[in-house]
Amino acid sequence: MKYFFCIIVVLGLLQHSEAQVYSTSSGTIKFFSKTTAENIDATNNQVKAALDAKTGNIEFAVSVNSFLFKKALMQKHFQENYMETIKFPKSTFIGSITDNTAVNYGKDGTYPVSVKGKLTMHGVNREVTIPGKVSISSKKALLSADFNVLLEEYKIKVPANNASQIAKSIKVSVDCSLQKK
Amino acid sequence: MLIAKEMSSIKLRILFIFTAVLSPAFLSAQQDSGFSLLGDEPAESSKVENTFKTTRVINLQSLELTDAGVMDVKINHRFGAVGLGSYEAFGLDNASVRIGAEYGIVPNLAVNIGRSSLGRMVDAGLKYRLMHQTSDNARPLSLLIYGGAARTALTMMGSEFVYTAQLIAGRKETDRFSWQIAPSLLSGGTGQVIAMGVGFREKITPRTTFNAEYIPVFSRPEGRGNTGFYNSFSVGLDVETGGHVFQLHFTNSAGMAEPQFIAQTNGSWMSRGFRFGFNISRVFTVVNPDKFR
Repeated sequence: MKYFFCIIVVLGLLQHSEAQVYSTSSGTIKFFSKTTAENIDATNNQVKAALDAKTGNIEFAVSVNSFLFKKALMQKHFQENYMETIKFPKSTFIGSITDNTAVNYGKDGTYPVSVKGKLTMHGVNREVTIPGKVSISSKKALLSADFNVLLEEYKIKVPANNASQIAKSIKVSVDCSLQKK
Repeated sequence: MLIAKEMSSIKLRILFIFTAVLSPAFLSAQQDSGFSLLGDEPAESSKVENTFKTTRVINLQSLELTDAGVMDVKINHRFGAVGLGSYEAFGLDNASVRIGAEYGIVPNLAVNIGRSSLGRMVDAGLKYRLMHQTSDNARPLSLLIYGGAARTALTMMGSEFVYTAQLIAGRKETDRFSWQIAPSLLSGGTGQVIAMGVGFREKITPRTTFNAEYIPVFSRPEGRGNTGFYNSFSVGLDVETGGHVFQLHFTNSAGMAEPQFIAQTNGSWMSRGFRFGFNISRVFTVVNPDKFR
């Protein structure tokens, strides 16, 4: 009887350690706005991300103020006029890999995946599906994805004056190297 | 007795199992905010930016500082007093100009220089940020110091340097409202002038703000050369369009260098001595900000 309890306890502990969570707090997200008048890009190297290999659940959180631009004034306008970071300091994604079984976390390699979940930006919450890649190498999982965001869908308004300088559709590129815990 | 002992031991074991098996479930259940993997994140702190649209409230130095590697070219106009009447187009026939530039040498330190047509005055100064307000209120205020020197080329007025020492303190209270105070000491020429600038801005639209500043003088030297002056009072709008900020205002100060608008404002709002004016600010990125990160 005692052994039986011991086994259950051990199993309980195992369940604890078996959760294969990969995470980082220094991932990279870049975005690009391309117009004939001007190309704008910004980089954020403080992206927080986590991936549960067992369930395929995936989460990203980013402080919008940490996007760095090539022009200080652009960065200020981005914060103040477009993303309104005082009201909406964070952008997040909470979702899961739809075909998680296709990823063999035990074997090095690159696996194309599709991620579905909620993208929250500028206070707007949208259900999105994003194609991406999971690359496994030893104890690391590299998550990468490229997708487009329509400013209009997230209620980010561009005044008529600046419409020629800022693209309606912004290309976002995600590149996060997650370490197994 | 024996049964009771057995029972209590089973209860203990059951409790033990529950704790061991369910503890991970309890742990994750405690977390809300939608995150189950990242957990509840503490609020991050950042420097509060965009307290004012540009480095001047109107005439007064504001809590903003030109960023490192950035050049801000300022072209300012003040017309004649509105009280001059229709014959002089309510002051528009006369204009005085200050052309100036500011440059951020390193983060938190900027230099500025300017030349005014009024009094043929050249002014230059250094502005340094001692403290930058943070979003978590660990630093509730922004605090800057400004030190400047100005000299007129008009020898008959006594061509001596006038020095300005100013402390600029204030805060962005909300997304829309910012305020500041600026105790100021002017020295040189005929003596010392002590004044206290106060200013605020209130956002009307994301790109337009209403600004006002008042600079009461508490002490000025005695003598004929120091009479007939009023406290500077200005109201206006800041309009931001991409790389430009246009400041349109009414002010009773004709001059745009510190010794002129703080100590020698000779227009009176009561007797239509105020005038229309505008500042144009255009910023250029000279050095890539990556160099300073």
